[in-house]
Amino acid sequence: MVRTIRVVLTATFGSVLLALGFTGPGFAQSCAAMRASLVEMDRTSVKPPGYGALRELLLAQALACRDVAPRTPGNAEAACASVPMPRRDWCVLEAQVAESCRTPQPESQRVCHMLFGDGYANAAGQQTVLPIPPTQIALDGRTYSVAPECAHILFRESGTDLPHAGLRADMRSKSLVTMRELCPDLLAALEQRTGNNAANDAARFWAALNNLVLSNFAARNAAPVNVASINARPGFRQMCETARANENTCRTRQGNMGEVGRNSRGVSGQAGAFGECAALYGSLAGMCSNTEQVAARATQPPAKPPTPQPAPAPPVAAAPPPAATSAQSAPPPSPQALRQATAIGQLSPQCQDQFNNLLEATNAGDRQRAANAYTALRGASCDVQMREVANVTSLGLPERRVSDRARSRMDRAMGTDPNAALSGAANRNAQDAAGGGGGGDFEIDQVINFGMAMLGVMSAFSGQSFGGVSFGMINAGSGTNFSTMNQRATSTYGQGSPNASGYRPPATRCGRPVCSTITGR
Amino acid sequence: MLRTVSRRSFLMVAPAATLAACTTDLAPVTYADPLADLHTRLGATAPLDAPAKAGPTVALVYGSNIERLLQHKEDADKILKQFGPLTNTSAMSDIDPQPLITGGIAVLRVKYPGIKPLDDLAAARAQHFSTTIVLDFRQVLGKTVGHRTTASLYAVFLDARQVPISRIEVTGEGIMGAVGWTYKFREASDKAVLMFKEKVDQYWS
Repeated sequence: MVRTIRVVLTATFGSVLLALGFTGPGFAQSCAAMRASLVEMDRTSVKPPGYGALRELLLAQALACRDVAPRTPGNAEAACASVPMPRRDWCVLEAQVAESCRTPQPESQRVCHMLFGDGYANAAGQQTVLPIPPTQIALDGRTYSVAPECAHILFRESGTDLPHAGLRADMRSKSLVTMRELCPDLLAALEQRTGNNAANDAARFWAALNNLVLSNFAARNAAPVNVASINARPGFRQMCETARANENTCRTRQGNMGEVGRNSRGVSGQAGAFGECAALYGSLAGMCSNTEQVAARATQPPAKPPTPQPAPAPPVAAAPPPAATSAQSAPPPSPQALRQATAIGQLSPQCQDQFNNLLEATNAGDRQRAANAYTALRGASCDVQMREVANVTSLGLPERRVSDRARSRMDRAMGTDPNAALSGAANRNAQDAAGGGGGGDFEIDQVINFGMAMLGVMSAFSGQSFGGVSFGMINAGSGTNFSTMNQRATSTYGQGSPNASGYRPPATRCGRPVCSTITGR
Repeated sequence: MLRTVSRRSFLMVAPAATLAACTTDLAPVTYADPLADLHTRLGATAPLDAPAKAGPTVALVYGSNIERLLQHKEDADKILKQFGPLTNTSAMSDIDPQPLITGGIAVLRVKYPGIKPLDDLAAARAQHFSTTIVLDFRQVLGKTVGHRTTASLYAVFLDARQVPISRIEVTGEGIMGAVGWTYKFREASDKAVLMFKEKVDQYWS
């Protein structure tokens, strides 16, 4: 099955299959090959909407990839053969530690890091953490080696349809700062190609760049590529179907890895491997969905044709460059896009801030910040608005996961005889209705036990004051005075007893300074 | 005699002591819609007490408030336990939502013997359940003696496409007594469960 995907992907995205292939155990590649595949995918593939998200996932996996180097016993001795004794023993020991740190076990990583620092793999003699080679972008006859940040900005732009103008402007403004700093040559080339200054004519520049990235920086005279044409490719369709099927298969298998009858959400071991598989194919399927949606919107007829405006005849010399033409010929926003823009635009300022937070954090790969923002968005004040956004964007909102304590409660409920539970409720309810409840038998038993235990505690307090936080709160809360609690103390002459000083309070009907309002005694 | 009276009196007032303290310290819970953060539609949009017929497979999913409920219980326990040996274990037991959870689920298990608990709606969707029931719980404890404690069950019936087509809401009550042994949540819970059973039997099949 994976081979099929590779073939389909080859036909569709060139070398994207190589980047995907590493997830299958049957396609074990070196990490270097995986990273090279990722670069090749960037170089050769068209970039349909959602490509950026897919690439992010692949990039994360490539960065996390660690080669398992075969161990060669005896290397340490051989390397240290020329070292005179007694330093040779130390040399061998050091070499052996270094060798073991080439492919450290998780529990050894901290020690290896302490011994060899950040580059401990290098220090140990073998480079196991490889950098991602810079992305190569060929534009108008020149190839640019692009910093990862710039590549991320460009690929994220592909086919994006961010309906919220303020957010889009904000993100693009920041992107421009990054590009000026890290890839000024490429930015200049892009401005030249699109015929727009990124700062002065941002809307046209980014729209043209969007199309340019989508076509994988196609030559000026190349056949036009748009989302609809990508979506119509048979290979693309086949790839999407396979991705969805595989996502479901992996998700189901992940679910089946837990205890019988319980859907597992395990993230470690085999369940975790299936989860990663599902996430990968899910990301690919997500790209497909994005592409389909954008393609569908592009083919929808506009709800209301724009009223023709008398436009001044353009001067002959002011013919727009090709990229600008592309931007101008973009279809007007569809009703769906307008609804989306409206829903996002109607977020309250507070929710808007969190929404921006979420997107920025997602963009920056800051998972914790993204999680916090999303949690805030799903809170009481923003949840309704977020659901509306989800509705109009046809995106499913991530659901909260059941905690262990909630699952435990469910298990206890499922482990109880339902008929017994219901009859118990009915019986207790009947007792309550008859006035015999008083908290129920079970409660009384507990109260008695509690009270008996407390009597033991009370003996330790004999002759001492019962003032304090809790009792102060008793009086405040119930309006009673619990003088009977001191009864035993009044008959005690130990240290701290008021009677020890010889003081005798005035007589009352109960014979004590204050009578209980409960018992009257 | 005096000691006997003292013991009785103490048995009466000690739980009340911690209960009174608890009521003053425990912050009320703000509950959300049963489908909040679960579904793109609110549970409140489903028709109340509408007849609904389940398909061959029925999934059970917790509503949105389960964590709020359990956290509320944990917070209350912490306050009650502040009193150390004076801890009102009776009140702790009384406010435990387990009987409400067990009772609510028992009603559905009796009605749909094959009902299967799942983690979330996505799991139910992935496994193509023909019916999914979201069951949610609420607990509102009285502030002081004479106040009302309520236990509520909210159930939303989703069809095979996970569209909410019916909902049932019931609330049982208990009045904190003059002595204030407990919040009377258990009593409220039992009432809610019985009302829930009555409505499920009446409207859902």
